[in-house]
Order: sequence, then structure tokens, then C-alpha cells
Amino acid sequence: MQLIGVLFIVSLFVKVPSLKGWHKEEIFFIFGFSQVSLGLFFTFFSNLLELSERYIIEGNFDRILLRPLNSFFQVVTERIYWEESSTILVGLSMMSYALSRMHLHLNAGDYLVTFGLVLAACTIYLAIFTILVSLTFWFNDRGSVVSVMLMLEGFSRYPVTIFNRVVRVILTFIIPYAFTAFFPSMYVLGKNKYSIYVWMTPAVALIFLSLALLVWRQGARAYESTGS
Amino acid sequence: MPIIEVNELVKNFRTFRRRSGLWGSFKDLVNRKYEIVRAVDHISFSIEPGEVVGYIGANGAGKSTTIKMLTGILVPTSGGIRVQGLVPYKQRYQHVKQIGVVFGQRTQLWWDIAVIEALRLLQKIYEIPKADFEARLKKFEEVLGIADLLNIPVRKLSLGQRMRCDLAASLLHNPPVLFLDEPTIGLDIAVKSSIRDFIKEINREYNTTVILTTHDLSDIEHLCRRVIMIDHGRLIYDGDLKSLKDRAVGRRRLLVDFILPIERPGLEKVLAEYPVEMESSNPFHWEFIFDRKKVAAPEIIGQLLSKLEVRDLELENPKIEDVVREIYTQGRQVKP
Ligand SMILES: Nc1ncnc2c1ncn2[C@@H]1O[C@H](COP(=O)(O)OP(=O)(O)O)[C@@H](O)[C@H]1O
Ligand SMILES: [Mg+2]
Repeated sequence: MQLIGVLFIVSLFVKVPSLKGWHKEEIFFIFGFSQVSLGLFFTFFSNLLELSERYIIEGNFDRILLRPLNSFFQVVTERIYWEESSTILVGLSMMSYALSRMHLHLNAGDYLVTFGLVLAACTIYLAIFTILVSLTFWFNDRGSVVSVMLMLEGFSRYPVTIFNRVVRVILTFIIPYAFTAFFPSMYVLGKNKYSIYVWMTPAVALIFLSLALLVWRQGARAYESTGS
Repeated sequence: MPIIEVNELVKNFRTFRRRSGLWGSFKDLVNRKYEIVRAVDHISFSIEPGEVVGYIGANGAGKSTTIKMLTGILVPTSGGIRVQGLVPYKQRYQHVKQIGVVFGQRTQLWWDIAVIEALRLLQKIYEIPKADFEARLKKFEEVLGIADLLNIPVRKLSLGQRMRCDLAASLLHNPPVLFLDEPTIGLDIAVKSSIRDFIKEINREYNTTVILTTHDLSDIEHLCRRVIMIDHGRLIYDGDLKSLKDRAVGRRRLLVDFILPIERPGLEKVLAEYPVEMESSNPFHWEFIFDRKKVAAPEIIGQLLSKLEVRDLELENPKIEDVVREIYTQGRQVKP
């Protein structure tokens, strides 16, 4: 089992190209970072993606609104998907493999900062998906928005510099996928050029999460329950 | 001071009309056509503490929609609601802490965990002191007979078992107001009556205000002194049960299965001398609605038996639909 995991990672490493001045190892690290933050999101928060089907169409959101607790908190925490945690492990292995190839050594402070950045990145995923699924309060939609977004998530695994200007602006400021892996990775990879973006990551996370909670709140007011 | 006040309450639903065919679904994509359904139409009433009120009406009348607005699930299109001084959807946390809610159609408990675990979770959520929790649990175990159900996952309970557990869950935090939406739907007589007794006892002991919707008149007879009746979203009666029954009591419904099919003109000829209304879903099955004060059941039955071949017949007590019709034919709306 473990052997398969290692082989899988190595085969990924072989496949990952070096791009526009980025080393294979760096790209591999960014890829790993995105897997860790995405894996955390999927493990702990992906019940959110059930909003349309299980809560709105089936009418289970009634029950949520009858409890004296925040509705967002209830939906997000109602189920934990431990089976998704393998993504976190794969990501962690990728990150440490890349680090060892680059002979980078982190001290305790670096680990702490990286951990904080991972949490911020995971929060950004949470915020993006919260805004999206909240739309289903208004438009009965069986998950097509979410699946498009999951496809776009692929963008978060590559250095934004490889994309053209428009895509870069979108990934930085509109759908901030660039902050879920690329920018925070720059801390460990020591690219001082990007340090302002590194430190913006937690701020972006908080701003987008607040925005997401606002959209959710408005959405919950538009909830129509189901006919008998 | 009323504990519940409802003022000119309106709820519209927007439903999406799908067009047919490929071209139709393309048009749907570009330009969605919505239809507005008014489920609750300018309803007003107020309820005093300790009242048990039956909220009745035929299927689709707007009962559940009203309850969902009163409990804070739905935001009204217009009009005002105050329950214990709070606006349900605005002050949601405070509001839901002070009400109990049971929907007969759907459990409020968590599907996958055992009943006792669900109750303990609720204890935490509602911050119920341990001693109170244990005392109430003990009482519910006795009165509702749920002691044997506590370790079973909710999804494995039968409808009647689930209803009893849901009732217990809704009252754990001893709310002053209890909303019950079709609490006896689909239950057998024994469970129905134990649930009715329980509601009665809770009301007597804690002076709990209860609003219950049903389309079963016998629930109301057992529990409510006051009745609010709605039809197509409008309030058509608000008053005591006794005077409603006086109007309805004359109405009876005779269900007849014929051996040979028969159409309306034929029946009208047979029953020409009797004041009855007729309804049918197929030519073998007819229902006759008549006023007991004007004509006796044996007269109609005798006439039918002498002129036609009857397979089976049954005399029914008035249904809500009949009472609604009665109120319409009398053409007045009663307000307190
Ligand atoms: N979520 C909803 N979306 C659209 N229409 C609804 C919804 N809920 C109820 N309705 C419609 O509103 C009307 C009243 O429904 P409801 O309140 O459930 O009636 P009742 O509980 O008296 O049977 C019905 O015509 C029903 O189809
Ligand atoms: Mg209903």
C-alpha cells in the first residue's frame, strides 16, 4: 500500500514538467500544497457540496433552521469525510519529497507559518465553494456550478505566472485560487518577490470568508423549503 | 396578551415552469418562466397562552406554509408575525429556543444516530441542565413509551415510533409554544390516541400553547376548543369547535360501489326527489353528500337499493372538505 503511494508520487514527479523558469521541484511543491489544503477542505467541509441535493431539494434545511445554531456551521460540520483525508497525506508526501530534493531545511517557525498558510488556503477553498453553493438557494441547481468550479480548481496547482494577464488577475482577485497554493508556497520556496502575496493570504481568506457568510445569509432567507 | 400574533400574512412561492421539448429546454436556459403561487393569502389571527388551536384545511390549503413561517423556516412575502414578542425569521436563535416543532412528514432528528444520542445532542444545543434533562427524559419514557427505542438509530424506527421520539425531542427544552404539523398522519389508532393524550397532558401540566395542523377532524375533536380553518390560503373560519361542528354535523357522505357503471343523468333520475350532491371518480363508484336535517340516510340507501344493483356502501362522517363547502354555501366568514 505504502509502496503504491510512493510509486504514485514518483510517477507524478516524472510527469510534472518544468515550466517558464520554474523548477520541477517547485511545481511539485505547489502541487503538494494544493493537495493538502484541498484535502483538508474535502475532509472537513465538503458536506457543504451536499447543500443543493440533501438540504435544499430534500428540504432538510428546515431542520437546520429549527436549531439555535448558525446554519452554515451546522451544514458544514454535519458530516466529516475521513475517506478524503488520503489527499492530505499524498500532498504532504509531495511537499516533503520536493523539500528534500531541493535540500531546503525548515525550522520550527517555518513549519508554524506553513501550517498557518495551509489553514488560510483551506479557508479560501471553503469561502469560494460557500459562495457557489449559496447560489443554489436562489437557483435550484443540481451541482453544475460546483462541478465547473472543481474543474477550475486545477488552476490552483500551477504557478500563476504561466497564465496570461487576464487569467492571473482573475485567479488573484476574483476567484482567488492563486492564494490556495501558489502564493503561500512562495514562503517556503523563499521567493521574496512574492512575499507581499504570502502575507496577504490570511487577509484574503478572512475577506472572502466574510463575503461568503454574507451571501449564505441572504441565500438562507430565500430558502423556500419544499411542498408536501 | 397574545403569545402569537399574525397580521395579514402572505406567502408567495415562485415555481419554475419547465417547457417541453428540446427547443423548450433551450428557452428555459435563456429565459426562465416563473409562476407565482400564493400559498398563504392575508391571514390574521392571535392566540393566547395555553390555548390548543387546530389549524385545519384540505390538502394544499397552506397549513404547512403557515407553520413554516411561524417557526422561522420561511420568510413571509408580506405581513407580520410575532411569537412571544419575537419576529421568527429575524430573531431566529432566540425564537427557536422557545418553541418546539414536529413535522409529521419529516423527522427533526439526525438520521444516522441512536435516539438517545440525538436527545443528548439536543441537551447540549439547548443548554438544558442535566437534572431537568434526566427528569423530562424519564417522564417521556413513561408517557410516550419510548424507553425501548432509545438505542435504535432514527432511520430504523417505524413511523409511529419516530413520531413519539420526535415529540419527546421537541419538548426537551420545555418550550412555551409547540407547533405540530400533521402529527398523526399515517399512524394507527393506538399511536394516534397516545399522542393525543400526551399533547393534552403537556398542555395541562405546563400550560403549553399548541398549534396543530391536521386534515383529520378527529384529532381536533380530541384536542382543540378553538379551530382556525383555511382554504386556498385564506382564512375562512376562526372560532370554537362547537359551532363549527354544529354546521358540519348535518353533512354526511355516503360511498357506494355499483355492480354496473352508471352516469350522472341516470343517478339524478333515481334520486330526483332527494336533495343530494354527487361526486364520482369512476362510474362504478359514487359519493353522495347530503344534509342529515333534510334527508335521512336510510331513505337514500333504500331508494338506491331498490333501483340499482349495489355492491357495497359505507356512511362516512364529515370530512374537512365537506365542512369547507358547508361554510362556503352558508356564505359567511366568522371572525372572533
Ligand atoms: N416550497 C414550495 N415551493 C412551491 N410551492 C409550494 C411550496 N410549498 C408549498 N407550496 C404550494 O403552496 C400550497 C400550500 O401548500 P402547503 O402549505 O404545504 O399546504 P398544506 O400543508 O395545507 O397541505 C400548495 O399549492 C403547494 O403546492
Ligand atoms: Mg402540509
